[in-house]
Amino acid sequence: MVTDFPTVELLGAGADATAFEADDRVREMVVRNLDAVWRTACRLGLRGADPDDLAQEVALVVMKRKAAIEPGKERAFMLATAARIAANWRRSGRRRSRQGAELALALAGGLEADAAAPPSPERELVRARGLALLDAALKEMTESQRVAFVLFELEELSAKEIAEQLGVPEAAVVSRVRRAREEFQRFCKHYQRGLR
Amino acid sequence: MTEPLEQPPGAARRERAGDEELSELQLAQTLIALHREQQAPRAVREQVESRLQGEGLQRSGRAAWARRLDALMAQIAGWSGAGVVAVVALLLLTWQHQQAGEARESRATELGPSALAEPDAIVSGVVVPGSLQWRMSGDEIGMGRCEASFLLRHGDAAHDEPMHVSWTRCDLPDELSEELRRPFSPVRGAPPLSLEARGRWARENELDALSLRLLP
Repeated sequence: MVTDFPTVELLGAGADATAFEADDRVREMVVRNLDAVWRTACRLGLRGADPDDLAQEVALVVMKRKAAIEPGKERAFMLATAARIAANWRRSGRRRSRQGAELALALAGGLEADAAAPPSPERELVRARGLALLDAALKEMTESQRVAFVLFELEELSAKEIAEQLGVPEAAVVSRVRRAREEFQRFCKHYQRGLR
Repeated sequence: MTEPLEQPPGAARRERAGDEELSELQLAQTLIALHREQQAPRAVREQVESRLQGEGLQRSGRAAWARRLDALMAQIAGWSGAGVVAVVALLLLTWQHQQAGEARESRATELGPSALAEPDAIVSGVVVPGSLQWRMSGDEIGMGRCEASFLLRHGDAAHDEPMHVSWTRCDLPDELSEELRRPFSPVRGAPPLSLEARGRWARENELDALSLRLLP
């Protein structure tokens, strides 16, 4: 019967019970950034239902820590939290193994993404291949590079925001992004050459 | 000194890029655009929103009481003006004063989120030594979950069977914890440990406790 726990149980001793309320600010924060959190989980290597679970975990963390989230830094907080949880899950072996077939399909297929094209099965297939290709590129990076690249390049957080949220020097973030870019560009170059 | 990074990647070099490099840049930009277009599945959005709604419903009883009171006050103010509001405020002040008095009486010995929900059962008895079963779990982000259960023998002689009491918080009164962990017998020389449990009946003879109070 370890299913429904009182809300107060998730709080530390002496904490205010109202700190766990899902108030309007929390709802807005979570709903607004849900897509970014979910796709960041995908880019950081989570598969199957793990990105879904991670989105829920991040929502719980936001509810628990809402008082500590500075206005204007909600998105950075949630994405950095997603990165931390994803790293924990990977370390604990939770991540499901990558399907080799998915990667092979992506590398073998052409990519003619056209953002203006209407949704269609073909378009969805190209999209899926493109995302798998992106994931393959990210896999070439170290974990710290990948996190920095995803947060900076894909989710457009600033180096300062990332540094603040991850608790690392800004120079380290910049360095990781630079190295990650080199890997990313090298991957794209090899891929393009392979198509010719 | 940290040299600033440009965003997006390679943008500054785009003008001097040849066809080959432009093609690679286009590929990079396309992949990034695909990422930014990606949305969480509708089911995930619904699950998260439902979860948020659920947590909202689990607000403390006091918070819910405060919200209802606010709504009621606003409604009353809209109906009848300041005279009625003053009367209601006076009644509430009296009631709050009584509540505060009761809280002062029980605060010293009572543990547990008694304000979270209205208990529908209050039982008292003697704890059965060694009956404690304790389960804990935690995840990577520090959210611990606990469940303890123990046996409580009724003070009422009509009940032979001790009842099961469940406690879903991560703390127990020290005296209770010590007594319940003792494998065979009560602490030597000490009187049996009595307590009062308030909660809800999960099933017959099984109480989900919302608060525990050691009895003198």
